[in-house]
Amino acid sequence: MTAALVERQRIVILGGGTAGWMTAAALSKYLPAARFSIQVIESTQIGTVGVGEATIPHIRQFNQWIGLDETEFIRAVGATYKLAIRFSGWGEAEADYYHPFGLSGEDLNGLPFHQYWLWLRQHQQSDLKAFGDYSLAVLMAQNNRFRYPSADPREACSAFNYAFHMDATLYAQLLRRHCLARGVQWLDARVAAVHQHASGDIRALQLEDGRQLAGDLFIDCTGFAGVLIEQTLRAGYDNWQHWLPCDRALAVPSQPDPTPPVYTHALATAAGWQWRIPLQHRTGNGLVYASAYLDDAQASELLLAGLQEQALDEPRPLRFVTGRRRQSWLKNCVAIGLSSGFLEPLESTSLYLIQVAIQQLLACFPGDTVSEVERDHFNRSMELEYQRVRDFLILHYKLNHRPELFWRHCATMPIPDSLAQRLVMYRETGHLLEYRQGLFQPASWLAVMLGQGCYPERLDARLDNQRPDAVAEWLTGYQQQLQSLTHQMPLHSQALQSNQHPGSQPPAVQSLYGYRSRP
Amino acid sequence: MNMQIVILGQGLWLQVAAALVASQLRPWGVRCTAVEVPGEPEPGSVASGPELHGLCRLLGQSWQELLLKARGSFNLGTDYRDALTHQAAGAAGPARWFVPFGHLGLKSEAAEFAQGLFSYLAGQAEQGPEPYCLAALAAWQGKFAVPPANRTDLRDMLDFGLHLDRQGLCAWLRRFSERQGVRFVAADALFSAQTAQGPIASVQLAGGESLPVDFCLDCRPRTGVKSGAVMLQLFAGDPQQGPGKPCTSAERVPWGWLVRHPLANGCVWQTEFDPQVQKRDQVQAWLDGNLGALDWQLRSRQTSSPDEVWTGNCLQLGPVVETLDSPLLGAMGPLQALLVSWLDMLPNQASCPATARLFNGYWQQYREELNTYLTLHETPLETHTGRLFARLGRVPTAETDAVRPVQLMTMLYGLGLRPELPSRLLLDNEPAQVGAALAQIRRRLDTLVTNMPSHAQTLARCLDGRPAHPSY
Ligand SMILES: Cc1cc2nc3c(=O)[nH]c(=O)nc-3n(C[C@H](O)[C@H](O)[C@H](O)COP(=O)(O)OP(=O)(O)OC[C@H]3O[C@@H](n4cnc5c(N)ncnc54)[C@H](O)[C@@H]3O)c2cc1C
Repeated sequence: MTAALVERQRIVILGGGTAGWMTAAALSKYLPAARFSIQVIESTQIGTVGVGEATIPHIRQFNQWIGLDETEFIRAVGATYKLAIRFSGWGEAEADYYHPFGLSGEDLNGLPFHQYWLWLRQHQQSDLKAFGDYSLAVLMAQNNRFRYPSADPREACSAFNYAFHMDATLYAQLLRRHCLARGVQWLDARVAAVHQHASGDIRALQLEDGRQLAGDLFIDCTGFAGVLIEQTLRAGYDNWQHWLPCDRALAVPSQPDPTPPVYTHALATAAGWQWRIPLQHRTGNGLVYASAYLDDAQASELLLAGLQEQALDEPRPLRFVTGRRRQSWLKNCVAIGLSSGFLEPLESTSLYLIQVAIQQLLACFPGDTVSEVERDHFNRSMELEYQRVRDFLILHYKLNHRPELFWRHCATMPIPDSLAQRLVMYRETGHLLEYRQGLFQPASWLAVMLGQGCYPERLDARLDNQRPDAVAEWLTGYQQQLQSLTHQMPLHSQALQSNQHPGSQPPAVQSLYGYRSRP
Repeated sequence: MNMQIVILGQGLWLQVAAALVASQLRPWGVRCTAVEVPGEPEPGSVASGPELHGLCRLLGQSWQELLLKARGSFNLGTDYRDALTHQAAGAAGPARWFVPFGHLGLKSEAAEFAQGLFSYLAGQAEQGPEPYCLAALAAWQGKFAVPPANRTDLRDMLDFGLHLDRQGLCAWLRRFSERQGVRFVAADALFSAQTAQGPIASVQLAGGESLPVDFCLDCRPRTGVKSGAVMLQLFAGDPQQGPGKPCTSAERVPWGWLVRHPLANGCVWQTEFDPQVQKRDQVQAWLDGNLGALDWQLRSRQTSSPDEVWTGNCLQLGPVVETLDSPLLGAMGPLQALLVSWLDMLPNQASCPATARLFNGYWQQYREELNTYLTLHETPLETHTGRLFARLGRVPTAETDAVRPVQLMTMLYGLGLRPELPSRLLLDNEPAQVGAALAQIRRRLDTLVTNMPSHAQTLARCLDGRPAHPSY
């Protein structure tokens, strides 16, 4: 249908942020140099967004996929382990809960654990602990412990997974070295104009110094600018700010924490939230806020006042519009990374969305011509991923009883039907449906819903003829077992020191929750 | 829990629903009443896929017992033959392909195996993926052995269902339900009384008895005039034919497909035609001419189904399951999927509109995936799935378990679609290496099949109550 491609397919990746280098690393791993040339163009003058430090477990799979050793990765990017996100002040000013990379409890008599927990709560069992206390990953996070999960689904330690906090700039540099060794060409230049074929396909990039760079397939990794997908091809953008109203951020590094926590911290503030991401060599901090409710000066003051360590720099401002490019693949151009959309960093999902886009691109990689079939398939898959992550993010804002104007607005704002239906079903029965495709499964939804005080009105009908004391006894024994397991584990900082042996890690799996098949 | 569930219907659908619901809810104190409405006896057969093991697990029963009682046979997938289209296209000999439940190759987790195989086959004289599929090899050679419990690799490759005698299955399920304490009542006529808020409060039987209802599962097929598109089905038992191969057979005939289910004693033929397009006499004449004189029986199936299965406190299972009860699919799988999904979200109040809406959404997706599968039997390139396969050798991610990816891919390949582009994830592999690896896999599979007993032997062992799996 569109551009005829020549013998050695020329792939041009515009942008050298995390998205650009992740894409180059994966493509250069799978596309043989004899048949494909891969070029990355970035402008150090423009720079990168420079954030994106908290990840989810899928990053391990990506690194494994491109042949990056985990020990080398940890050393190169100053990484620490991550088992959860701790949410403070969400829902209520006093609330404090974790969204773990792991499951809470075990199914009992064929019913999900949370149904029993909620039922005991209704029966006001005095020794019932917080929902998260039945999750190994949460106990590890609370006690700052770390060990690798077990890949054997019969073991209690198989019910969690882990990710990393990392320095995004160092990660891009590591990937760049990796790519250059694989023959990827790299150019530091600014694109000044874009030339198109009569069909609308992109033909070549005009650099500021006058050179022209022709290509067959263009990957737009130019961040928020969307130089190719939007400035050139006008793909259009679905603005989701009415559901996710934060539109600005300030980022600032501070001194490292000698005992780094094994979680990302997200502290709700009057008009947004503040992150704290511990790295080995520094701490990443930032404030995400809605400019309609907080001005930049107030935001900067709030951020700096909330730091636990001394700041190492001035806060750096960032602006964004939450939403998604209507078509991430248009003509012979595929947008990956911030150029394809942005969902705020509350659940550390951006790098995951980059990874999914790369996997889809490889699965749908075009031949001599780009056809509607692969474009359509790619766009459909990405749309679903974005929508499902979006709904989960909105949930955090919607469920709240905080008094501030911003939070009152969030509590009363309309939400997408897909989310509204899920919420009502949960209230009706306490049940949640699993997605076949999509990142966050019931374990995650429950962590947030229960953490933010959202309880169902009714529960599963089967619970009615159970004996609460017998169930409560089982829960107590189970929880004690998890606690004793946790206390046998090394501290996070010790684990960072001792886990230095290449290849000693469990295999990476594409699940947030570890090595059990049921999410 | 003092919940009362009333299940209305007849035949297989009533029995499946009663057994499943009773097995899952009786231990929790739920009371189940099955109201049997009058209906014709249901001869014929049922073909199930591996989802049958899920049903047996839920019932706490073994499939061996079911096989024994319903005089069944094993089912590794469907053996398709299409001489008609193939001849029309000018190709020599009948086209034949196999659509398995189990995966291709040796390892279920082998990423891109199917794509690698399709690329390799593109350069070979030999065309089909069957030599790389244990289920296809076994089925075509009339062999089968039940994989031992500790060989998950073999279980994945030889994932199987059963063909069952419909009446035998019904009787077995009924006995099971009775043991679970389900009360069966026969009723000539009945009507439901609604509360002021809408849900059904009770079911009134013709004899005057009133059954209070918390939840009603209506498994009756659509009653009254069948409007819209209706397909007619003919089916007949043939006691002369032995179980033969451990698979369903489907052969293209001028009006659609002729399907054969082998059973322990004989087989059952079924076919379906559109009465707007085809005269019954012509179909009958063809069948008589090709299969000899058999006692053919007629039933009908409405093809368009309501979007809402769950309304108020009632699941209208019959009308929706009916629409999927084609000889190529069978209604057991959809019925089981709907019931399991409902049991998963079991509410304890009469009205849960949001839960019902999400359940109905799940059903619509399930239906769409099955209908896509049916459509691509005739016009594969009119489906997104067919076009995607023809271009990239892939199929879209499913949102339900209605059809397995391996079924879609082997069906589309069998229909003659060939992926245009090789997998880019495999470009690094040298063709010679790929060829050598595939040859090795083929040898391993050949050895596995060579050592397998025949389907008839395995079936005889199972029907005699002896251990089903010899050594591999
Ligand atoms: C406040 C904030 C916090 C975040 N936190 C997280 C997090 O915790 N976890 C997570 O997963 N993600 C996070 N993200 C998202 C994450 O930072 C990005 O997804 C990731 O960094 C990828 O960015 P990118 O490569 O798409 O864009 P960028 O980093 O902006 O890179 C764009 C590239 O394009 C080049 N370029 C642009 N225009 C031109 C031109 N005309 N000529 C030549 N080159 C050009 C630039 O030089 C640069 O190399 C966060 C984002 C924000 C805004």
